[in-house]
Amino acid sequence: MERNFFKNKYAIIIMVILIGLVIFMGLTSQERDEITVIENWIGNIYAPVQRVVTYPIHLAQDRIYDLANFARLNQENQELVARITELERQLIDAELSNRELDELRGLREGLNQVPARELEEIVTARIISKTHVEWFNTFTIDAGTIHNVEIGSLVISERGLVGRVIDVGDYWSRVMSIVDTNSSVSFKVLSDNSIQGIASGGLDEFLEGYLLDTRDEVELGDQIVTSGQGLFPSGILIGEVAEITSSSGQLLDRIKIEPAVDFRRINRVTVINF
Amino acid sequence: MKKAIILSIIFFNILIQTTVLELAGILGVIPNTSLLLVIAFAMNLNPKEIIAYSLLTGIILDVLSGGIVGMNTFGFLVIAYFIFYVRVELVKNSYLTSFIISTLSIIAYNFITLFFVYVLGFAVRFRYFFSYATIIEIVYNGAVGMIIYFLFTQMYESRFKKEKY
Repeated sequence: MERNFFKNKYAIIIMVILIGLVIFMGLTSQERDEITVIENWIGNIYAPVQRVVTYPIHLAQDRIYDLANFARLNQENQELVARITELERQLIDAELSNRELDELRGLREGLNQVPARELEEIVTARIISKTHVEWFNTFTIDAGTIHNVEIGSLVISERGLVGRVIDVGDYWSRVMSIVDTNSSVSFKVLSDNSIQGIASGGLDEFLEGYLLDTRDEVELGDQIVTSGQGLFPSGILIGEVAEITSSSGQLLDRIKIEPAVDFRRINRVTVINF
Repeated sequence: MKKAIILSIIFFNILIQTTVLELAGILGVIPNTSLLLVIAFAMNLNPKEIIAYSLLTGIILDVLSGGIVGMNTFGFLVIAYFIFYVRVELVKNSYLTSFIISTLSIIAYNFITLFFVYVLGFAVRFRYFFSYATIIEIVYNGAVGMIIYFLFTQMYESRFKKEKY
């Protein structure tokens, strides 16, 4: 009896809901300028709770990682001290160049020839939730429109490029990482800026890509940065070449890029409106 | 009272799934506890409740997990409907039954999501679908599904079965 009742009345209700869901999926599956009110509310309710829950977890993870890597961190520290000394020397040179650049920039704005496009806002945010759906590699951060985060904002960490903001609520935002299969990044090789290519997310949190010019060649360990073509500004570290696959059947060499950011351990990010 | 408890379970389950459960990942695979909870609903509740709670669980998970909003809800409702439809034929309170239902449900869920991801023009990682991760996912969900099913069924039978609503 229960089965028949469900089969008729409730089956029809479910069918109606499913049709509605299919229409909704079709309408919202493309990139949107803003999310719906319901999505914003649900996000606003969960974001502060997720923040409270994830904070001690991330703190404990960081401490355990630090303890487990003490010897390596000590060596890394010594290397960094040497690196800082070198960078300080370079900074002095750069400051001299910067002064010249400022003068030229002031002149340009004064002439109103090109609108200034500078970094407007920098927001530090904590990751409060990671998506574990096979098809997507996104995460939620605890900064939203009230922190001036916008759709398309750049997301980086201290190690390199993380991704970009795809949805924004009042107190939260969703970030699509560069290792998401739907993400695409134009890159160039740091040692030779003329070598360019396109990479997107692959399996195992690596990026997979190819070079635009078939005559170009890269080597294992070559550092890869954003080229400035497309959604990301130029010069942000993406990672390094981990594998090169050449095949006689394929016109383009495929390369596998190990991201500079460890996406399994990342807990904090910086969001930049550019 | 019953509604409040089930709503709390849904809220905390999704909270745990999107935060803490990351720590229980096996090679990056974590159980889809929301789907497993929906299975427990479908095995115990009445049709009106199954639709309402599956819908709510799906919508919240869809919003919080990103991707295609509505995909989880669609999968949950379809799976819940079929489980309810066949549940009179199943042996209740059986570990084997709950394991088989959980594993079959996760396979069905993966096919449903694969279909929408493909049809809506998103990048599809077919290699993932046929990788070791899928096997881990199926077995892991089957094991956790048994626990969730038994916990919910025990709670339901001891607290709510006599309750009128």
